[in-house]
Amino acid sequence: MVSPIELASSAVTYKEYLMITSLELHNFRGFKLMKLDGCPRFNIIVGPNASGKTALLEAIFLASANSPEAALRLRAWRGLAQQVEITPDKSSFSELWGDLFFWGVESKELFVLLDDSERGSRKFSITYETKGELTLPIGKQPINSTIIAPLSFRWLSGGKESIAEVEISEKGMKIGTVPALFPAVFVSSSHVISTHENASRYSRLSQAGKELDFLNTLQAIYPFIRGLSIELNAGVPAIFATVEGVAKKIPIPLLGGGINKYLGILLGIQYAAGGVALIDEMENGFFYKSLPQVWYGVVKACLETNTQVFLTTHSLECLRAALPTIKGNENQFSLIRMERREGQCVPRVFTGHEFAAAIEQEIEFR
Amino acid sequence: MAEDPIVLCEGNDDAAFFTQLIRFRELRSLDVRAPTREDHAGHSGFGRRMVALKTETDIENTPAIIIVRDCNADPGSAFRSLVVQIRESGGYGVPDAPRRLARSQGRMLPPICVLMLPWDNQPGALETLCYESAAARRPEIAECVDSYVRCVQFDIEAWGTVKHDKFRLRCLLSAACPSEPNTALRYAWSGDKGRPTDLVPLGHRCFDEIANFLAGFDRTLEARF
Repeated sequence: MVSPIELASSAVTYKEYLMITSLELHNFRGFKLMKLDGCPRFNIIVGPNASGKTALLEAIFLASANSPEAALRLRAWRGLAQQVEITPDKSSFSELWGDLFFWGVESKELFVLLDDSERGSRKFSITYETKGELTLPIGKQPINSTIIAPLSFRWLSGGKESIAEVEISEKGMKIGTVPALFPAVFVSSSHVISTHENASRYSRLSQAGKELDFLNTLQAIYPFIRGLSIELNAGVPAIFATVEGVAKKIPIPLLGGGINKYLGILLGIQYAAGGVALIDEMENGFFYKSLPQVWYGVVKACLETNTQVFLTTHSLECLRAALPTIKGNENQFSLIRMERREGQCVPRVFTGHEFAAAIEQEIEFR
Repeated sequence: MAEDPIVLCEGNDDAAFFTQLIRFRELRSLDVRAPTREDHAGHSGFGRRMVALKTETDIENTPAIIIVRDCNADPGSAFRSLVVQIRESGGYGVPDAPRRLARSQGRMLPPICVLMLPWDNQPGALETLCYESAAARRPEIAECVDSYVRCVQFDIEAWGTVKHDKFRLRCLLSAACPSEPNTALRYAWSGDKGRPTDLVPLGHRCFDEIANFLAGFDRTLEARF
């Protein structure tokens, strides 16, 4: 049983920093223009299919990333091809990047404006450079008049702009990187966080001496896990669990999808400390009875690490399970219902107080 | 798509009454709602329920919300206390009198209308009307109930007319329904378990004002906007 009092007492110690207090999306996926103001620490997003829930998470992820490569990862998590064929023609280049733009219209600038609670505004944008060049090698060549303009990903923060470009040349596609500005983690609905990534994050947590706290949080739902360690599995580092009644240590993914996901979320929150955790379809993989403790663990971890959360869910069971955690902490929650109106994705925002009342009253608000 | 006005009732008894009245009088369809939680029932629970309703999908397409509450001993005070709850729930229009429609501030919330029972400024409750109807149908039992009230020395001065009406209705329902003497008002129209279907006849004239109000509610909506 989740104790709201315990959570409230842990809330006393957390710092007030929020990575995103307001957000504006322009020309991104299904959003021509979307604004969110007054974002609290926990933002729970609901809504029907194709209403822009995942796209909202993706916009935040890209704005927090350090390379256009993040957009390719999003494609893969969406279920588009894991591998892409790079060809030096404009149409295939557009197929790869064009779906980031509103209705695929690449001629307009795509940008995301973010405000945080301390450092002020920052901007992330994607534009095609107006100039492009094509080098034709000496000798007879077929004339290809289509010049592929480079795509620029720009991060503007504190008056400093970082630019990473995507360019096509005869050698292939060149994707730039910039120093990461804001920590963010994306837990996709379809993509399982790699054992290597989880092991790396756990190692950092262990080195910081936080492994016992972490184990306690995990044990609140899975008490049969007696210990965690990093071991090699087929030559790759992975987190193994010491399990009650089992002599041999077991790799976490083999214990169950829900356990692996919960561990991935908690480690992701630690990794994104001071930043933002983006969780798509929170409920996937969890046994219904463990959902209140999952909420409790996520909220507690975020409060302790000063991390903000934007998460989506379709599940009323999952939303109801949040109630014990929300009660007494209503001002740290918001409910965002994405709706589709006249071909655009539009948010309706409700306070944590309204959200809690709606769950109590069994109102259908999804 | 929400097209019916929502009727928010204090509890299950009045929700059953409105559902059956609509059916019996062939009134326009209404979305009658009882509280889903015991601690949000009664006249003090409307505020929390109004807060929750703001989140409901398609609430902006609901033509209106009709809040039904009992006048009890002091109709003015009962209305004012409801107005406070509506105001504090935030964003809704606040009616200045019973049966007057108040437009909500934004376009996303429906207008609000308050219906007081037994009627605008009359002390009493739903049971006041139901007892009148039930007693008219079974005057012989009503006479015995009145004797019983005297016999047990029910103190109307101390307990008030509303409790007097509830007491009498409780006795009459039990006497008229020997197969289920603990029949609650909400089951008075169910007809099951040997219950007579005419325990509280809904055709009685005492319900005419309510029925007329609901029948004419579409005109109220049109006139207001």
